Order: sequence, then C-alpha cells, then structure tokens
Amino acid sequence: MPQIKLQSSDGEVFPIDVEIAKMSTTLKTMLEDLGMEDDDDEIVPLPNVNAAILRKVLEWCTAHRHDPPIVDDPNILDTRTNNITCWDAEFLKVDQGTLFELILAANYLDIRGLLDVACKSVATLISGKTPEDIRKTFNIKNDFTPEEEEEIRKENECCAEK
Amino acid sequence: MFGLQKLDHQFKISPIYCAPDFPEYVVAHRTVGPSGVLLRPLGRPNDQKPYRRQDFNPLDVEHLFTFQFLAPIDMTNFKMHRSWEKANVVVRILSTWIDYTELVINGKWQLVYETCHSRDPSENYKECSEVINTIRIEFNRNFLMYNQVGRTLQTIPVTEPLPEFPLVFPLNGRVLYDGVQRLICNVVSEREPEAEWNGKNVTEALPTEVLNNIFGRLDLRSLSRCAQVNKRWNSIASDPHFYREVDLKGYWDKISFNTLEKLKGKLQMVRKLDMTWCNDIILIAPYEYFDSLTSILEGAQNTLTHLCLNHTIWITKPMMQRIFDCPNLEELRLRNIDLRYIDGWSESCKGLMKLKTLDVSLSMIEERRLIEMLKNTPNLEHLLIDDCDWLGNVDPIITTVVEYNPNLKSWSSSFTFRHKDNARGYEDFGKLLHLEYLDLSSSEPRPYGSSWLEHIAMNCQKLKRLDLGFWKELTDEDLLPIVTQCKELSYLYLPSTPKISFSVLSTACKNLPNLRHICIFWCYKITVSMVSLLILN
Repeated sequence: MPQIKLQSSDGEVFPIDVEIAKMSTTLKTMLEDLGMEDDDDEIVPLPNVNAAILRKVLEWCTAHRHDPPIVDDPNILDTRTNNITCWDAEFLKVDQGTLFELILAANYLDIRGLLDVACKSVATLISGKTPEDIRKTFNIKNDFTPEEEEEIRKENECCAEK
Repeated sequence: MFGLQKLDHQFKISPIYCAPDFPEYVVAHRTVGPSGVLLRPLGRPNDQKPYRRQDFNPLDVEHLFTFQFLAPIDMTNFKMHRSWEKANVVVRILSTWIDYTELVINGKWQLVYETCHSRDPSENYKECSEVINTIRIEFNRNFLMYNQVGRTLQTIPVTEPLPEFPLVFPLNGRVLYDGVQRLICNVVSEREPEAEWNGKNVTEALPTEVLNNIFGRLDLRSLSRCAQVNKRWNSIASDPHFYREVDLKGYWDKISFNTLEKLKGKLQMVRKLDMTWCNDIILIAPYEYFDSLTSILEGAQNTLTHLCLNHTIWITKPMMQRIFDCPNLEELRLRNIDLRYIDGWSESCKGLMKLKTLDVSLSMIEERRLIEMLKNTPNLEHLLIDDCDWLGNVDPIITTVVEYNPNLKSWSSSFTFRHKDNARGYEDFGKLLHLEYLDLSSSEPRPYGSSWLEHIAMNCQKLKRLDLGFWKELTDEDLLPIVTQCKELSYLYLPSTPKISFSVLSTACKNLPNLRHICIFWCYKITVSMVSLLILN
C-alpha cells in the first residue's frame, strides 16, 4: 500500500495510506496536481491542523475509508440531524473546542463526510436552545443594540417559541 | 424513520438513517369509534380526533407510528433503552385489544406506558387487563403542552449515543401488519458545553459555508432563534435557502397577517409548505392575510412542490389562481376548505402537469369544479375525496378520471357517495390499470350492484388495498373474484359487512400470499373460534 507523510502544524509526522489521504479532496487534488509518486519521501505540511486534531481526522478517515462517495442528490435531503451513526456519535464525543477544530480541519482538507457529521453534531447542540442559551454555549457576544434586538425578536417571534 | 426488525424471537425497532420527509401520501390507519362511526375532524383543533396522520392536533402528538401483531405481545419483557427515557422525548405506548373477533384496533387506546411517569412498563402492563397486539408510540417534545395538562417533564440531556435498538419487544407471533408510519424523530443528544476553549467565540472562526452547512440542518424554530443570536448569524440564518421545507402547522395559533409579512422574505424559495390549521387569526384582517399569502405563493411559484392548506376553512380566488400557476406542484392538500366559490382555471393556466396527489377530503367542492381540476392534472396518482358531501354523482368523476388520469394509483372516497343512487360508474374502476388502493367504505350504492368487483379483479392486478367497510349488502360471491384474482392484495378492510362469512376469509388467506391485514369488525357471521382457527393455521 503506497503511503505519504503528513506533517501537522506542531511538527508531528503521520505516515498514512494514499487511499486514506485521498478521502480529503484537498490532498487528492494536490497529489494529482503534483504527480507525487509512492516512493517520494516528501512530507506534506498541514500548517492549519495540529497533531491532536490530525490524529482524530485520520481516525475518522480510517474508519470510513469504505464509505461510498457522497453524492449531492436534491431528492435525498441529508439535511437533518437524526442520522448520526453510533460510531460517529461516539467519535464526536469531544469537547466543543475539539469539535470546532475538527470542523475547521475537515473544511480545510475538504473531507465531506466528516464535515457533514460534525456539522450535524453542532446542529443538535443548537436545536432546542434559546438565543441566550446559544450565545452562552458558544461564547458568542450579542452585538445588537437593544432596539435592533427588539426588532429582530419581533421579526422572528412567530416561529421561535414553543 | 424507524424500521422494524425481527431477530431471535424479538421484535426490534431501530432508527433507519434516513432524512425526514414532508408528510407525503400515507395510507394511514383509520380509527373507528365504538359506535361504528368513523371519527372525523370537525371544529377547532382541540376537538379533533385523529383521522389521518396529517390531521393530528398540532399540539398533541408530534410524531406517531402504529404497528400491529397478529398474536398478543408479551409486554412483561418490554425494554426501552434508557437513553430514550432520558431524552427530550415522550414515548407513550398505547395499546388496544379486544377479543379475537376483531383483528384490528377498535380505536380505544389504553395507555400502558409513558416515559414521563418513570414507571416500570411491565408493572403497568400487569394492571392492564387487555391483551396487547397493537402498539402506538408517540413522540412529543412539546413541554408546553404537557405542562398545560398538569404533567411535568424533566429534561435530562442524553450522554450516550443512541443504541442500535432503542425499543425491544419479545415477539410471539408473526407480524400481521407492518404499519410503521413514516416517523420523524430527532432524538437530541446533547453534551454539556465545555467552558474552555479559552472562553472564545468558537463559531467566529467558522467560515460562512460551514455555518450554512450547520444551519441547513436546523428546523424553523431553531433558525428563528439563531437569527436572534448576533448580526452575523442573523444575516446567515435569514437566507431563504434554509426555508425550503416549512411546516407552519405547529404555529397555527401564531400565524397572522403580521407574522406572514415577516416570513414572506424567507419563503421565496420554499418547496414544501404546510399551513395546516393556519386560519385562526385571519378574522382580524382576512383580506390582508390572504393578499399576503397570495404574494408568498406568487414568490414561490416556480419552487413550490408540496402545498398543504388543510383546515384553513376558506381560500380566495386569486390565491387559487396562484396555486394553479405553480408548474412544479406535486402535492396539493385542500382538506376541509370551502371551495365552492373558487372559479376554475384561468385561460392562461397550463395545468398542473406534475401534480400527483390531490386531497380535497371534507371540503365543499362541487362536481364540475373537481372534474375541471382532474382534467388539468393529467399525471394524478392519488385522489382523496373522502366525505365530500357536495359531490353528487360518482359516475362523471370516474369517467373523467379514466379519461384524463390514467395513472391513478389510489382512490379514496369513503363517506362521499353514500346513499347516492346509481353508481354504475364503479365498473370503470376496472379501467384504472394502476390502481393500488381503493377505499369505498361507507359509499355503498343504492340500488346495490356488485358486478364491478369482477371488473376490478380482472383488470386491477396491482390492487394492494381494498376498503369496503359498511357495505351492508356485500356478499361472499361479490368478494370471491377479488380474493382469488388480486394476488397483490395485502389489506382488506371489511368492517360491518354482515353478509360476509368465514369461507371467503379463509379463501382469501389461502389465495393471497401478501395478505397482511384483514378487518372484520362487526362481521357477525364470523366467530371467535373461526378466527382462532385461522390464526393457528
């Protein structure tokens, strides 16, 4: 099995199978564009991803390497939150910081499946919460003026209750 | 979505990982009241009785599914995974059973288990003298409602992942009816927010496309709340892209002219719009309300595929014109609406070429208007005209359907043509070669004629469900062609057909490999021992 080496932002090197690396569209494009050969000893630096997160990402990729590619089909709406598999739910049992870093890494490496499942997880965190709870959960600052806030509240009150 | 699985003498229900769906055409359970009258929705939502799934009181049950077993289920070993008990979900298991003369529920639900009572279900079951063969599971996350009726709910976040089989029932008999209704259930799994990440706004770093991905998974309520978080979230969450499938029936008491005006901008790209019950406030400003609704329909003209305006009582002419101008409409539900004064199609309208489901049950609609609609919907597959008292004669309607809607798969007209003379047109059902579901309960013609059943038996080879309840004159001979020739038949609903005897029932069971469900409620010629014999064989 051909391998390549990935280097995290803090310098750790991860030798991985090319097959797994190609689950990342970013890496796949890069490998194809650069025409990297198996025997190249070159190291691919990933300055946006630290070792802990890269390890998690690779763990996910290894577990999902046999997944069929995600096809955007407008008839199958994979938009909700109830279809997280047990494995993924277990995998995503991490603190919020890690979860968001995973999302950023998945977004940067363009790993669609991981990005989707992590976003689903965030969506479940949001659903059912009031705006104030959401702000508290994610440490978001309310940047509305009181007047603006009242206006926005009125605009959305119809469906925000219950 | 939930699936059923039979494993090692156990019956398991597990989530199927599948996207939730707009309530599409569901051949739902009919609930029959003790007096033999179908309970039908009338009056205000709080007085509603369940009739079909779409008509449940929006405050009552969010999601529900029912399934039945031929043999009684042993509830003593019933297990529910504790994550469900802890989740923000109320699971109520209700059961009905009876004696062996009734193979089907009698509509009187007995509560045997409710999660918020935190009692051992088996204990509760022991108190219940009835034998259970039917289980209904309801999900309701509406705490408000439960508090209103004096129940309090604890919400404890789930800390473990959903197990593969949250509910397990020991299975003692073969499954009679796989009536798992489409069920949408979001079991919320929540983790305690971590105080760390240096107290930083973790979402700030997320690019807009990631927030789009997250918001795209939220429901209307959560989106409305996200829009109030801060400026960035507001601008993202107000994008009409997220409002493609909008179900407003839960907000029926909030929808008014003012709220519609505020929603208008967001509904520009709506594909599936459900406004069941949204009529309560219109009396304050009816014209403005309908103008606003009309302009929403106009804005979404090219995107709208599913529209449901059930129980909105009335509708205006311009609104109807707008509906007829939606070229992509696939499902149109106009239940319980006064459609008498709606003038038909404008000259410019090309017809609803994609319409598959048309539901005008309980509505006041005249024959000529229905016929006009049918002529303009050539690809119609499901027609529901239950309880339409304004429809006079069935013959011209069937003739129109045969000519203009050859792809019709289901026809439901229970209670519509009762006591109407002259239903010769029933023979024409035999010309609908794709017919799968035929519901003519309580529509027995006078004088009684039955040769049409032979036509159906000969031609409608795809027939899966047949409903002839309350046909007092129906005999074994009438039914014989159906039970010998319609091999696909899986559901035969014959309550209160007193002339039916056991022989035709046993012929049906021998001949029809797919038969899953027979209802012989109030068939007095059939006794308990006969049915027991049938079950044993």
